Amino acid sequence: MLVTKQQDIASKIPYKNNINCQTKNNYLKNLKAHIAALDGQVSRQSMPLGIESLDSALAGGLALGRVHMLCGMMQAHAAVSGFVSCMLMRLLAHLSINGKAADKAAGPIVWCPASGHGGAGMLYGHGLAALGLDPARLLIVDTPNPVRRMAALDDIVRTNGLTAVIAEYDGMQKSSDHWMRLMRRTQLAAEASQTTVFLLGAPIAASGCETMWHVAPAGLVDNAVGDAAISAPQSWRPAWELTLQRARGGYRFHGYAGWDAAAGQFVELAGLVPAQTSELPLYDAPIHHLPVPHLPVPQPAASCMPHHVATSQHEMWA
Amino acid sequence: MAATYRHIIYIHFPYLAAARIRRNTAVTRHPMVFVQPVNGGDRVAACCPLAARYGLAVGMRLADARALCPTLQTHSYDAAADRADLRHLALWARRYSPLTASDECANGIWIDVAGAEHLFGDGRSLMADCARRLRQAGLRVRMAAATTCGAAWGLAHYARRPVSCCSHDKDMRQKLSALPLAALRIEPSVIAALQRAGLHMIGDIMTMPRAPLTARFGDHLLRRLDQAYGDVQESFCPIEPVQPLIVQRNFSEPIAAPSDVAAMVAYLADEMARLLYHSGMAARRLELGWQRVDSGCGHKYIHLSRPSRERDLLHRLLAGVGDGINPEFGIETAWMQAHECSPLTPVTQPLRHMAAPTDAADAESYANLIDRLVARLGYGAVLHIQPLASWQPEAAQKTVLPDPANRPIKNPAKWLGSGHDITAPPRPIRLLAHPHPIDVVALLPDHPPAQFIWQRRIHKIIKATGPERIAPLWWVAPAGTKSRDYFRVQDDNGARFWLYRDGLPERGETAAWFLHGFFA
Repeated sequence: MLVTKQQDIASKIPYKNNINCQTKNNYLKNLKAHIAALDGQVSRQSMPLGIESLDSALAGGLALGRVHMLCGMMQAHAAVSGFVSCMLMRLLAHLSINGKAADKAAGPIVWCPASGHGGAGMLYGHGLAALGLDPARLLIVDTPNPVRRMAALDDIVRTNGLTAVIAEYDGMQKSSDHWMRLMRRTQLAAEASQTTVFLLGAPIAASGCETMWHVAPAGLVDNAVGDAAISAPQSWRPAWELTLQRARGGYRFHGYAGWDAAAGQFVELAGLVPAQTSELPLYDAPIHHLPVPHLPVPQPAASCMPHHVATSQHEMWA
Repeated sequence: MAATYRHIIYIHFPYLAAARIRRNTAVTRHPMVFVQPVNGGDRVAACCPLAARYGLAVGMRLADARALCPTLQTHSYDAAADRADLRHLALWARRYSPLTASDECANGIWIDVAGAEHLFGDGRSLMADCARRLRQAGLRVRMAAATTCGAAWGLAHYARRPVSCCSHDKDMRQKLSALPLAALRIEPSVIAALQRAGLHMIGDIMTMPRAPLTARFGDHLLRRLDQAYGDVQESFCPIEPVQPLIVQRNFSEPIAAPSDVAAMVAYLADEMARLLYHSGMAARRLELGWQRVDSGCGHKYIHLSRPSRERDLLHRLLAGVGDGINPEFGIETAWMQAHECSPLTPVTQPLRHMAAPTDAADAESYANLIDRLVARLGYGAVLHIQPLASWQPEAAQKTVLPDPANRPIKNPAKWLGSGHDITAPPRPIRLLAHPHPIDVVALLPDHPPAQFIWQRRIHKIIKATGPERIAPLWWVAPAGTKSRDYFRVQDDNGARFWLYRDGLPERGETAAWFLHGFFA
């Protein structure tokens, strides 16, 4: 078997005596492709994220049907959850466009959040819907114990017909050996079912995943545009500082990205500078805002209830 | 004459509904009636013995009943519960004979005890035993034994004595003649017409020529008469009990080793799958039970998201169950019973969620996944989220169990901000179940915060929007619940938070600050 493979490689090697630059590149390319084929990566599907520099660092795009690790301080902010939500929207859009070709329509998404302790909080449908992700797609697996959650992961990923599986591993103290085995098992299951898996949690020394990211909120303000632009709703659109620490077949990347909800795609944030913490806070609501009218003291009379509900109980001064 | 010997007992329960109420709630000394709207007015559908003593009767208007008895308690009449009780009683009566039936129209049960009397001595002692047991259960009974269904029915309802027994055919004919016409199970309009003609008793029409009666009232009257006297055969359709689907395993030696317990569970799963297959049924709930040598029993339930009988599925669901069984000194008997069974239908539309995959095979494996996760992680661990129409952030989302019978909601609430509604108020993507208290520095009491301390870290705020004022649900919230002013803030690291001030300073309320959620 080995002999035939070597012969196979040898047959692809061009004539060695007059090696110039072009043939050398071709030779390396063929060899790489062949190794990838032996590695079982020939049917690799990928989804471009829409940011050119990031896509080239990912060797064409985010590999589907693989395990990706998105690390960050899950309990201090929701940047990782936000980034993975936007990634899911991108994935759903990608599948709906290429669904027929890939013979795979968008299925449900299983999310195993660590909402029990610490403070990451439960997924909130209104916020996800405002971001653009339909909460009806989510099947939430809510287990406080991270070890049981991760033990169930293999079973979930093996299921056919899921679009993506997101698992948060926060709070699990295991050896790197354990992680390696878990990663390998999950990777095999993901390849079998063609489900894309995202593992979210604090940075750990784990290997075996397709890509490893570090996601932090982007502490940026747009100095170029000036204060007036800050009050625009765009200034609240999600922005992250992305570090691609490892990507199979790709290279490291560091940059800033945002999410354009209207267009449903990632945007590169250039021209932004880190915020100066010494400067005065910028408020988009006027500090001397409108005097808040005194709400009428609620009387439990049935006739005034609808009026009450409509006007004075729920008002927004934004 | 009847062609074969028959011995029919009819038991009438005049106060079945009242007995159910007395059984389930504390005993009151007030008369009670059960009312049912008939033709736009409330009428008495059933009453209790005490109310009957006041002169109340079935069919009376509620207003008349109240006039007779001012301390009357009224309940709404539950016909379905009566039917279920009668069915239970008919099943219970199978201890006397395999042929029993419930008479739902007249609150009674039939028992055909022909050939079974000797097991209890004779017919009279059988009836005495039956009456004693029913009275001990708190039921008032009227019962009669006769050679025909019709005679037993009439005697039980209208005989003077609560227990009547016809020793022979002549005796039965005599007793029947003395009964009112209603004992023939004929329509009230026919009874009224006969009474206008001066005919009140069954004996009165027995002597009448038959042809004019048939011409005037149709053949129903005479057929009932013949049925009562046994000139026309009448039978009832006996009730058929549902056989429980149960498999059992007894061990010659008590088992305690974990491997043996696992093998026991696997064996029961195998047998159950085979039993379900042969009976053509699928179960939604399985009960695994075991008995230890010290007679202690235990059981576990395994829920399925839809009826199933697949052997592999049962094996997977039961895979971890054996570990949770504590055999102590050993298990000597184990059984598995299928509940909520239904005839198996192929999966055509397994889950009506939007989340469910469109492909049938994928939908099946998705449903199986839900089953496995529920079996593995517990019943409340697998959820869907649904919007609720409430402006209280914590009440605006509910979690529901994924269920195949998830019917579409009538007026579904919408997610705020869905469809890129930029006018919607901002909502975080993760919400804390219990808001965390934070220390806040603000320029003035009603200003947005300038910085806050959470988890011993200082977050300097560079951007803030707000306030969005959310008042409590004043008609349900306890007194003293304050309005909240919500702010969306961003700290110098770029993290976005949803903070609120509990209490309005401009109203003179003391304010406290909380962190409630995180934005993307």
